[in-house]
Amino acid sequence: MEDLIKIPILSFYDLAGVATPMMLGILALAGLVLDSWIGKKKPSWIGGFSLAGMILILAFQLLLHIGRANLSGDLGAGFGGLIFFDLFGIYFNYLFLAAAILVTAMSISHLEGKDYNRGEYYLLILIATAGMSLMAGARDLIMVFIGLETMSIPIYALAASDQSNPKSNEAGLKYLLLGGFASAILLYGIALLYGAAGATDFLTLSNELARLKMPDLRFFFMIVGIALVVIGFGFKVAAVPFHMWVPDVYEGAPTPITAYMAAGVKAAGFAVLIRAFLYAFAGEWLQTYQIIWILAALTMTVGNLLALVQNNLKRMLAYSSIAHAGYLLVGMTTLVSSNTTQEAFSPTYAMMYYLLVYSFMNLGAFAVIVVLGRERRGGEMIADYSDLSRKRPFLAVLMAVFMFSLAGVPPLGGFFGKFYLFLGAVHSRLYWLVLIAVLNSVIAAFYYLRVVYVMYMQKEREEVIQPGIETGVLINTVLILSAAMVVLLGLVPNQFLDIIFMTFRKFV
Amino acid sequence: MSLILKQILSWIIFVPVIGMFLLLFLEREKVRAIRVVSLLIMVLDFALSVWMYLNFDGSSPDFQFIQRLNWIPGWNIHYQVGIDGISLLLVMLTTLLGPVVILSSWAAVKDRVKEYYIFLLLLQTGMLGAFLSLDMILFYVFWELMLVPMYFLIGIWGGPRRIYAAIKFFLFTMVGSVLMLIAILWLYFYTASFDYVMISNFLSSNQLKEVFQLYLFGAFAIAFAIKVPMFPLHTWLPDAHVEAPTAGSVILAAVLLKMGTYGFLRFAIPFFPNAVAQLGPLFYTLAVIGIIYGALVSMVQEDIKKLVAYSSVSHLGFVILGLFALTVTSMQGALIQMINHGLSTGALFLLVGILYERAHKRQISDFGGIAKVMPVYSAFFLIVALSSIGLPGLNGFVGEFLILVGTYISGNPYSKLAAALAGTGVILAAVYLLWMYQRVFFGPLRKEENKSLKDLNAREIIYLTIILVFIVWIGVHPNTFLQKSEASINQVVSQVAGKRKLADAGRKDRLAGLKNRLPAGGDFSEQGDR
Repeated sequence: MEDLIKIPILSFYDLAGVATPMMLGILALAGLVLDSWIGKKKPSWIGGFSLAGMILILAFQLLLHIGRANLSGDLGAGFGGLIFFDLFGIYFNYLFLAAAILVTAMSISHLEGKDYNRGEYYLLILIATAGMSLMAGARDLIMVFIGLETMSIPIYALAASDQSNPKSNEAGLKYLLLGGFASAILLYGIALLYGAAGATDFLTLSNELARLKMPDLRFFFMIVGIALVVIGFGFKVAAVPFHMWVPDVYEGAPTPITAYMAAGVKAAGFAVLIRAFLYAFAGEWLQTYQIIWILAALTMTVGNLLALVQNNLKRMLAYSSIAHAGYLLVGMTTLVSSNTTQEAFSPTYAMMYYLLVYSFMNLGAFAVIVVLGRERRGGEMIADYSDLSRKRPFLAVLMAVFMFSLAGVPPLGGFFGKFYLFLGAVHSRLYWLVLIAVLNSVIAAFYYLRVVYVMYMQKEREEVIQPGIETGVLINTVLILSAAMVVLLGLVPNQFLDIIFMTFRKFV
Repeated sequence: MSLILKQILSWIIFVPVIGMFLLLFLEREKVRAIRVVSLLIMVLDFALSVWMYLNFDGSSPDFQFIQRLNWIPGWNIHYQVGIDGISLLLVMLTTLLGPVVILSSWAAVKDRVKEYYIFLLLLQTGMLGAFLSLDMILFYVFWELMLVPMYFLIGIWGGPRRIYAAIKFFLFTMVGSVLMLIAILWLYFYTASFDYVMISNFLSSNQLKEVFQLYLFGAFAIAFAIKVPMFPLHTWLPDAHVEAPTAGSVILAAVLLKMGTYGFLRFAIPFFPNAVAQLGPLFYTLAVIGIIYGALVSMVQEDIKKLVAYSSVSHLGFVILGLFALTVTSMQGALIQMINHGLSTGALFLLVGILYERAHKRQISDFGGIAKVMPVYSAFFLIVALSSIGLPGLNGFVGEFLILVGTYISGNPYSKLAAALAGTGVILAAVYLLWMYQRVFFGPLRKEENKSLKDLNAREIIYLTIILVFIVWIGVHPNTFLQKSEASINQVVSQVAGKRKLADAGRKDRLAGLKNRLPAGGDFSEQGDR
């Protein structure tokens, strides 16, 4: 560590660690310049520009990965130990970039002909993605906080971007207030940790945690600090009881942004939680994993029960995203309850895999909503889907795939995601938690099946279909890519697992 | 050819999937082509399974035609399939009924024909895969995969309350299967494998603690008991049966319910012998209650289809009784009874479906005297009803007789009483079926609209005859089929008995001072085995 700090000029690791967020930032700035030229007339071009840029960044990321893949899991740290350059971060960068690309493509389709179609919209997505990438790579709580704010502030604005829709304004404001509140709690937690440990980087924190014992007041402050950090991220990943903002924000925000919140923000939140508990907060005291146990059980149960009674699909998916946060917290509980770092890798992998699957099934489901919205069939209410199997058979099949995957029916990705999480939890003897989780997935099956039966088994209502826009190539690509990923993650998960298993290979 | 024979099981499982993809490329208006393709695929699948049957060595208790491929090495999950005497007959039943259900819905299904056949083919793959899987996760995947097409079959082509029935079916089964999943995961950490054979060997050489056995057996048993369905978990069955289209009911009764009994025979009983010893009395008590309860409820049904549905509860009670009596005789009987129930009840549902297709009603009181207008139909119905009752010379008798004899001589506590009570189920079956037959077919032809009912056409006669052939064949010469399964059943029984002896010895040591607290039924003996 010491020698890294003394190096005055930027090293390879400094640049490599922040390469992705940096390029995203540059892309956003270039986009801003472009926006002032053509943004007023052709806002979708800005979307196309950022889409192309992100695909290039993804390709670069791939090169960076392939070039380094045969090294080891932990490739190094940069910026005086502020940021990791490792495969874990790279993995999440893939996830964020893929989600951002699909969301941008979805947005170009969604915003076509709408009055809030502006260049900034796409650029804000870029900046938020840069923030996520920083979060996943952070090696210091200050870095975590910077990443978190870089991600959150654009998302607040994006949630409110549909100015003509009062619900969107409400969503933005609510998200801003509660998100700001959560940030404050997080910051307070970081301050306490700094006060107790004298530093905010993960290594020092874990050393101090290992050194200090209970009667020491500093230890007490550290525990309180950790609790506050967890609460702060509880907001971001939508864990009960910090979930109140989720349904309104998900419902009000433009559909692609909702998809982005479900896929990207949640993954970023969990990336930080995983990282923090693997590196910083690891230690003996973690025998008290019961708090997260309770959090997990509450989150999935409340999420699923409230999802049962929703008639609005976006609200239903909001509650389902709460429930899925609960399943992921089962993985978190497993991680926290494991005795050694070795043991903690298995739930880590499980969560990484689950987040990948979850992102694609959600992106797909929201893309279906976008398609129906474009065609002026509505799409937000579950009733809008009645008899979709006759009107749009292929779209209905895709939606059914996403719903069955969300419900965890094999052989789709959603099943293996749950399988992996529960495998780890059973290994850690969290039988009751797994029991609660699987019974929850039965409750969940009920409301996902509801969408399916409305599509396949309910007769068409009387409705007047206004002429809408035909589906475009972009949105169809999004749909097909998401569906293909959901199916592939189920049928041949090994290809993806191989990448995941590499992330901590150095330690194994 | 020999290469195909090596991979024959995979072909049998996935030929319907190939058919599914063929259908995807057919235009939805070409209804006839869609039907012909599905029929040919099912016939091909049956032909493959017959070829496999002829090459099957009945004298060996081991799995045959094993094929093992890496599927997900990261989780130690393999694609592994194999067949033994237990799954052989069930696979044959499934492939035999494939063409039959396609033929039966030839004219009945007019709406969304393409989707209908796609789901039927997918269902076929799911069922065959579940019977043939030798990897626990693969089994689970197929087991859950079956739910999806069945859910659509009931929900889209079913009766008025189809959505309720479809969801109830899905959720009930899912509750059971997720519990089973936990048990599978637990077993994985105990045995370090998802491989059926390895788990089985590991469990027979390492005595699993009784507490764990009880929990794990409980988890498996709930999953299977819901599927069978055993009393009191049977409430989804009448709904699903009544609302399902004819083909759905036939597959549901003939094959899907067998998944439950197959699961007991394949997993729950051989894996956890001590738990079986402890809970056996509970299970055969529930089985006897199911036999009598199902029969009594059948008796008072007004709807013919519901009557047949409840008779399933009764008939499957026999199977459970046979399985938990744990003698070779009774288990052989249970296995053959699974096939019999598939044939007889499947045929009954087909016949009810034929009647409903013509008259659009199913209430017993709507009919009467229709033997006069539908003589061929009545003859078929009578033979099938008699086979379901258990008339000697037809298949039902063989299964029930073996089960009752096997149970009677098993020497388990109260087994003689159980056999005697179960025997009344045979009498009650005669009551409800013959009484129904009398009210529907005999007497004066009162209703005007029934006079124009048409008798069976050639297509219907063909597929009913196929089933009838096997009904008589099993009735007259059951050994053709029994000999293929005998070795495997023997192995299961000896495995369970051997392990239990070990466990009993251990328990007696531990409880030497607490003799009078020995759990009831803990002391099974093997006197009736031979």
